[in-house]
Amino acid sequence: MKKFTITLIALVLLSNALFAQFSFDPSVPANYEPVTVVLPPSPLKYQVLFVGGVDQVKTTATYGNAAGTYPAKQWHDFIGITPDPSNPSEFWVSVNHEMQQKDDHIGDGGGMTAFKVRRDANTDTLVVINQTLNDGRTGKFFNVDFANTVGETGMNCAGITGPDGRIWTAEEWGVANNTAAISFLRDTANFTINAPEFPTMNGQTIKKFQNLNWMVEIDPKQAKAIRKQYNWGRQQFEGGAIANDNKTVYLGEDATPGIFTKFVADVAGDFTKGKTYVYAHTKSPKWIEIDNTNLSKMLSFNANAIAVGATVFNRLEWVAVDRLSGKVYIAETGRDNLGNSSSWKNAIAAGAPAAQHHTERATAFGTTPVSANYVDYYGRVLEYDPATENVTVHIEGGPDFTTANVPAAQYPSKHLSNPDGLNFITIGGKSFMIINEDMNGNTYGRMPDSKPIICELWLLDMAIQNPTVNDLIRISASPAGAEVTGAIASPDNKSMLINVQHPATTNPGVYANSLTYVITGWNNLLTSTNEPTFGDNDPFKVWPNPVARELNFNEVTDAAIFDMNGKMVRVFRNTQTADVSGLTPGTYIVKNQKGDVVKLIVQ
Amino acid sequence: MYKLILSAVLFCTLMLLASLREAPAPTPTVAAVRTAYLHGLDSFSVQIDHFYIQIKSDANPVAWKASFKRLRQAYKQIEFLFAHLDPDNARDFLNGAPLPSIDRVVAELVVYAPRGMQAIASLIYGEEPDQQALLQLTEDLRRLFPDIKATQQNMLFTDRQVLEAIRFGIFRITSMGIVGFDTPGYNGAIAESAISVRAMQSVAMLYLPYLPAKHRLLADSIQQNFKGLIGYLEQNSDFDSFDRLRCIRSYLEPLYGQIMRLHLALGIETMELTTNKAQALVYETPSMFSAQTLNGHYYAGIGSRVEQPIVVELGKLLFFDPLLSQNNERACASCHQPQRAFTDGLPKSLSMHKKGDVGRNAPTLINSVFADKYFYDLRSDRLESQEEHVIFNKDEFNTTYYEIIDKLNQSSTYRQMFQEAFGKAPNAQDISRALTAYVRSLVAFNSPVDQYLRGAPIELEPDVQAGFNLFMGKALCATCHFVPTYAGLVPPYFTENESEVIGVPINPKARQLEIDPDLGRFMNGRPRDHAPHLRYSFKTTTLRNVALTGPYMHNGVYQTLAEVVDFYNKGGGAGLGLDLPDQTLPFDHLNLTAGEQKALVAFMEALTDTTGIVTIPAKLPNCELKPEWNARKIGGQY
Repeated sequence: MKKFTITLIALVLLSNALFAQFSFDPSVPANYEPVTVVLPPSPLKYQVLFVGGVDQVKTTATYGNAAGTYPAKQWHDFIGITPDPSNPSEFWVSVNHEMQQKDDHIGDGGGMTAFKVRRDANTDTLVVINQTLNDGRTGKFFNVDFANTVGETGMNCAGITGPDGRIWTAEEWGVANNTAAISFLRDTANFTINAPEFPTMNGQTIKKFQNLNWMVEIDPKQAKAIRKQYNWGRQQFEGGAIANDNKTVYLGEDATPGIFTKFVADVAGDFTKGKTYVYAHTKSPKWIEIDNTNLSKMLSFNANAIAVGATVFNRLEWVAVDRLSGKVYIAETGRDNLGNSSSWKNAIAAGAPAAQHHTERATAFGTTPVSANYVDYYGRVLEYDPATENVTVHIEGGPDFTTANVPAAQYPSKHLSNPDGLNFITIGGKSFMIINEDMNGNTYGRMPDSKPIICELWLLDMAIQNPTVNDLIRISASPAGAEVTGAIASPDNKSMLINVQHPATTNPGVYANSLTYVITGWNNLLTSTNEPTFGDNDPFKVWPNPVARELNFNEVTDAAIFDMNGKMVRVFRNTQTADVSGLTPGTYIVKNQKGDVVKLIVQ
Repeated sequence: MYKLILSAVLFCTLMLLASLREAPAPTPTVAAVRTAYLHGLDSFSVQIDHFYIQIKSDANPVAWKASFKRLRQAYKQIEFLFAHLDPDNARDFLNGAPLPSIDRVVAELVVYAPRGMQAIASLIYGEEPDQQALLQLTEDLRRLFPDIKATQQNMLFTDRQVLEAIRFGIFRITSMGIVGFDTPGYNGAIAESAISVRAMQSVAMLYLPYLPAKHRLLADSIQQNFKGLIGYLEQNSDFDSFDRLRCIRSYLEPLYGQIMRLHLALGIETMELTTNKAQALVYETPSMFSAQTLNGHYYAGIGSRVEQPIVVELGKLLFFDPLLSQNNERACASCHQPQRAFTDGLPKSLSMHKKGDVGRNAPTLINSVFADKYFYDLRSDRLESQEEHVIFNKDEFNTTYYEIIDKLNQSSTYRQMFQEAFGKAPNAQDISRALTAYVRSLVAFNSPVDQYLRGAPIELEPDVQAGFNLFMGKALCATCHFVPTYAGLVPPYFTENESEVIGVPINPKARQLEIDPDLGRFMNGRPRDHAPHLRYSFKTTTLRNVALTGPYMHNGVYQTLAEVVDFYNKGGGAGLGLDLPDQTLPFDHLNLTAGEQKALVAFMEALTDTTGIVTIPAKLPNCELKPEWNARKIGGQY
């Protein structure tokens, strides 16, 4: 303690001599000749479409309560899009609610909301339009009825938008017994399957919790569920995709170990009849059938898959098909201490091999996939090529850091962590992968300086062979505390619809709720933005980035922004970029610590 | 629909992620603080190693305690900076409460056993400390700290953060340090506070030379108050007899204001200028005990919006209007009656159909805006969604927004007021906004105790003085009911609500006591709250106006404050013999004398202030289209 004080006193004396200014002098030099920087509006427009907890959904009569109008559930995740063939300016949107909650009117468990939008020809914005459904409900937003159709759902995470716009919702969060379900389900009595399309299962009675964790087809136009896909297995589903043939379904399981599943329909478009396979890269053929008429095999799908030697992965999230190439992409989100996971080790010991890329990666680190020091902090996006039946890494997360805390000074400008949502958008005739992050943590470089988690949305040009993290294009970031997810292109590729899930309630206004927002104008993006180059001796230069609503400086500096009355409105320390999105349009003065000034016009 | 610019949401991260090629030289003050801070981090690291060796090599609890004391001293040198620069790690790994915690990040429910120095303290000051368990906790600390330290060594902080750290540090000493929050089971709270204050003092002194000459008096006061505070803490280190009332009024409260004035006088920016986000604390408020200490806008989730008086007025009418309920008889004010500090005097509120109750006791709405979560089970994030639970609940309002909107439209007064307030006809979002604006206006921080702590020239009754000191000291109340809200809103950042397992029985007079079967937070429907240690856990509600809000507890089983004090004095449910391993109160008797119990009640009664917020509208708007509704009762029937 004494030493502490002495050190400080010595430094006080020293520091008097070195006096520097902490504060910014708001006055402008007399010879001030304004260099003016204009921050034009972004070519991309933002619009909030659907706010959880605020927008009201039309419900059906449920649990003895009459049909009515109630606030939508929160925790938006997947977004499904269903084009309207008879009207190209309109399409249906269905949004998953991952939050599971008892609700007297919407129904218990998770849920979904469906609505229809029309593109306004003058403004290009999307407008939610009124509909009247067959069951008599009239309004804008509709609760998808599960409680009165196929039974309640668990967490509705991702799902499937089929090639013709059919929609499935995926129930995640493995529920192991009825006790685990009683906090969000009022009725845990045994459940009798009512599904004549699956004759070997129809009429059988299962425990209520066993009716959770399926893929569930819904009708977005009538806002009701159609069926639980009892023939695709009960898994901790995160996502899936249907190939261009409208017969082959690829499914990902968000578990450690997670299994990669395929269903092939006998007839295109009829997903009630066909065969179910699991992927096993060491076997020949690589797809092994699991009898999907056998209810008990479907109920314990993961165990049966491991028993036949299925390849094990580390948390498979969304699956997406690049419609232009027909290849399948899967987000493998990762889990920190993979080699320590007993379920992972047990599966491999039981003869279910780790995916090839895990073996290769572990070897590169001088270890094995089942060794306690085998870690998987960032995950990756995998590619499955139906022609070769091989799963390879398309883009690896990272870059790798070996220390938990990575200082901002050493932080790379781009870092991909824990990819989750996956989709494609076509811009200028080219296919781009949309990658949504959902971070498992803030350590090992997932965030600089272990800052609170902020998830990002990336684009990746599919023309790039062997892409790396540096090829990613940053699009958007979530509000503090939130996961960014669900991103999907509108049928006309003009807009991207994106969900923000569970933001911190300290975010301003509607941004404290889960919400669906839209970025429109992708069709107007013609050129890429290039950073101007500056010499080291250049004076203070400010470069606007209209897309991102941020200022870039030619040097790392302290900077303050003043309004025209000389009132300091923002201070940035020790940075090269400044987020000015909170400033109301107008004229400002930007000043660096040396006193150089620039006039800024925010439009 | 909401054609808002989303830029506030988008891209806010880019700043964080920008590569920092070369940083400008820090100011001399930051350079000096940094040197001392790095030295302090090293010393703490060395003390962790020493403590580890001590535990490993020696089975002597006396030696452990001596070594632990040195470890704590080293931590207290750096705490004010460390806990400000890295609050998550401070709480998660080093100095969090010795209770299980839930991983805030991973998708699944992960519960961690207690960890960090407080868990260690609970062991070594408990009976028959388990050396193996102790060793494990110490090994974890030793393994984790290098990474935490490495982050801090690379942290580029600014003068703003240093001054904030001192100011939040003063609040931390007031609300947690001297009440013994982080010194479970041992008499170290005051001595450790003294070390912490000394560290803050030496850093504050660095800044005084830069004060413009006109602020000479401020510099002198800061010096004198630090000196006085340190002297007072060092000369009165006994926990039970420490006079917290005097310490706060004479030193801590004045310093809290003076550090802010120092910050502004130096021309250093405040946090508000560096971010788009609202802050929980109003930095420019000089007092820790005023209605402006905390920022209502932050909690209501509506950014920095200041509501117009018409919005509050409209919200007030809606609050007292029974048209909001399905049968036009029940208003918000039915269960939240102004004269009872917005409670209803019943153990549990009556259900709408007057058959049975709604399940729990009605809490006060005064100062209720200052919360991160709502309801006894913390199920709702915001006031707006709290209100919805009432509107839709079959036992409460049993209605929908659409029914309410239809009814409001029968009144030209309501239609005009919505038009004037929002430029729109009555609609769900604005009903909710108006109600929230009114509830948010129910703020009162001017009880005699507040006035006294702020230094007003008034006297407090001796019983009230003694009661405050017991509350903040021997009776351990303030380790859960934190000042200044006297609720579980955790200082000094006020962004999180705690809940506690205290074990309230169904009927305290029963021969065979049984715990109230309400599982509280465990059953609130949030997957991450479905953790075994959160069974029977309830929100720690405010004690402001507690004299008016009886009966007490979530089930209203205690009629008087004396009964409540008796319950805590006996060690809560577990102390009364219930099998409740996850109880978060000490199980043992607090050994409060009859006089001390009386003083505690006297103090709590002095937390009353409802000035200016209990008025009732003179009249509800007429419904021209439904004249039969015009006779409805203001505040509803009950």
